[in-house]
Amino acid sequence: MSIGVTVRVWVAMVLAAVMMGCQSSRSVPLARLNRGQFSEVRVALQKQLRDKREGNYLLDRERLAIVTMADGYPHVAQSTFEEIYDFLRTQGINRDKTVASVVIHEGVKTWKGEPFEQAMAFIYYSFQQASLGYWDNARAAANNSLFNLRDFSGDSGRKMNVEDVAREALKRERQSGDSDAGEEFINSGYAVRESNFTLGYIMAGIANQQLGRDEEANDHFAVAAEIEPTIRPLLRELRDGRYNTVLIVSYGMGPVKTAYGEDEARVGFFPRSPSDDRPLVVRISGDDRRHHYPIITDLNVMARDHIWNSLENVRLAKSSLGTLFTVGGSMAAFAGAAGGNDTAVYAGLGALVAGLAMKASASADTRYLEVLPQRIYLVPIRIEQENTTVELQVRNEDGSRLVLAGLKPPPPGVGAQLRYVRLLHDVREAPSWAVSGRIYYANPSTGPTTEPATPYILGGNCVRPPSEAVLSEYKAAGVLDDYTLGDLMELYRAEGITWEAIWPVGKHVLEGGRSLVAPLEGTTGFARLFGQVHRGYRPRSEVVRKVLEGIQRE
Amino acid sequence: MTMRRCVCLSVLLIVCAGCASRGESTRLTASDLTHMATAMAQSLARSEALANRGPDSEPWYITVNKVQNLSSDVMTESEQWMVIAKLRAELPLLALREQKNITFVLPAERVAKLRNHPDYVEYDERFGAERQVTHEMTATFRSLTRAQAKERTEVYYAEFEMLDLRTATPVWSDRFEFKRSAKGHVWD
Repeated sequence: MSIGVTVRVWVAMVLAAVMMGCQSSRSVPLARLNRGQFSEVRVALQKQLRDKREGNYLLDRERLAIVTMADGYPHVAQSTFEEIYDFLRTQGINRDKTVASVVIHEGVKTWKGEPFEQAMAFIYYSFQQASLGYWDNARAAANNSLFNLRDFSGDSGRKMNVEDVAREALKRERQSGDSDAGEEFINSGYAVRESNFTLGYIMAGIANQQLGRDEEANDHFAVAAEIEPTIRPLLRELRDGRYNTVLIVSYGMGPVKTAYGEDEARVGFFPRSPSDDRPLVVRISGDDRRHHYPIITDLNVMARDHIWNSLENVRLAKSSLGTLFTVGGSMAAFAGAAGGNDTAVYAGLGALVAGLAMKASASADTRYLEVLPQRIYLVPIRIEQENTTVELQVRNEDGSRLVLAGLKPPPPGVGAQLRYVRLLHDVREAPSWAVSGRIYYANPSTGPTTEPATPYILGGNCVRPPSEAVLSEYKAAGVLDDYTLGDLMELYRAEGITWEAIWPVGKHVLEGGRSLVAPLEGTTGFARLFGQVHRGYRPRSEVVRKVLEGIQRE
Repeated sequence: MTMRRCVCLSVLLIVCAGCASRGESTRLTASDLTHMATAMAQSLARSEALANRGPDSEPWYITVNKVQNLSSDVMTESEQWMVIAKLRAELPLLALREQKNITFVLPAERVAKLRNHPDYVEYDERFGAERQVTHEMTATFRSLTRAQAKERTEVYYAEFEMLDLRTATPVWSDRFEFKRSAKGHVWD
């Protein structure tokens, strides 16, 4: 076989193999996310889900689940969270890829996220289950977020970032003169310690409290107080148990994962939204006081701490190996060619090709969960009346202001309800829908408005799914007098409009979609959908067009 | 030759990197739940509480509540109802009604949920009204977790109990235990 053919075969094999490891990371329209256009992002992400054979299986689903929660659809997110949870609970998915990820590219690994991203995924599942009233499962999910962590700081107690750990490993290699000493330190130089995830402890505490397990709840609150003494007043409020609604409020963009350093072989998390200690200012209708709530979790801080990161230091070694291979291969090939030695040329070129492939792919894996927020607040409040309005704003951040309308006490027999709220970010002024505090459309969560109810698809203001009760209201308002429930359903079917909360749920009819499935009240998605007047509906079918014309003539 | 071997090994390593590892989990499986429901149904059918009853015994109306999950694993609502459905399916319901005067009825929560479903049609306004529950069956799942850096073990413990609501005394209880272990880093 000639040298040319051999090299071509090697190149093809190496490139094919590298391609197998490549995981294209599909982009998330973050600007839209910041502006609260969650339904557009949600629907786009729904179409991008890849199957289990792909390394981004989990990443795709975590993105979708978090955005679906922000859009106010915890019930729609159920199946996505089930897949996420099942995957996260599977251990050793990357067990056979540790060596490959060091030598070739971290991207050959199935993405499971850094430990802090995994903890966040579990806690979002806890939010989702609690939003649906399943506090037992919220407890289980929160407990799963409290997995043990690796701590390299020993007895020093000093906060170490990932580079500190890598430097310590290199120092040990130099001091001992043993090239394995660094690796040994990485593999066994840590202590397994309990988590310091405050939000996980608080959620576990709340869930236990809702299940009547006060002792376990107080244990969790006590751990949270020990980790973060500044939140003690909040924990007292929780322990008192007078709240009946918990708002989980997130704000900002979580840290970005970026490659840096020589060869861009190192990765780190860098803030997109800066950290600060500004509280969340909360005002509830009927109460003139403004309440201040502290930040519970700052993702910038978590991402910086080595205990919440994985194999950063290994990537440094990988980059060096890639460089060595490239240089060594080139030298062998040139030497072989000069000396007329075919074997040396084969070997040198082979090493060169492999080295280049490694080098090309040695750029660190920068996949990360970009839809995470920068911070999370937790607000326990008591809602006594129907149609309560709650105003939220990060202090001195006008664009973050959000007025949640239509909140009501939990149903009888239910201790507390939970709502997940994502505030807008990077906007100078809050859009009108965010601060209107109004509900312009009759919807399944808050019922009819003060106006007579008629279907939105027939020029009215009601977007509730068809039912006998809803049809009676239409008849009382003077439309569809001779209609049966079946006739009303047929009108929606003619327009291709559905009302089943079965995944995938598209955009709502008010936003140009074909779904009547509504977000939960007390969420940003609810405020965006019902807190503004949308343009009138344009029928697609002949049958609805004719009915509409008939109504307009009358 | 050594260099050539190195290159071949490198290429093999790269190719192998594409292979997927299945991983292990300590989660509850459908099979665990099925075995447990079968065992519990058999235990109840053999219990003293039922043995002493006949067609003329005072009627028992038993409501079977949804599982309470206090384990470390998330059980979806459908999984929780599946346990109950499976348990009921394992019991000879008709025979129990005719020979033991025992009737199983839906819990109020389930009736309300059925009523609230968009597709629900009210054929009988008194649906679920004559439940007159005398006994309540509960099932509680607990677990004990032992998590190390490279291994996790979960011991699940499911406790079933039937309570006479008039006297607040248990007339039957039993438990089912099983263990699940998984190797590998939890975070890998």
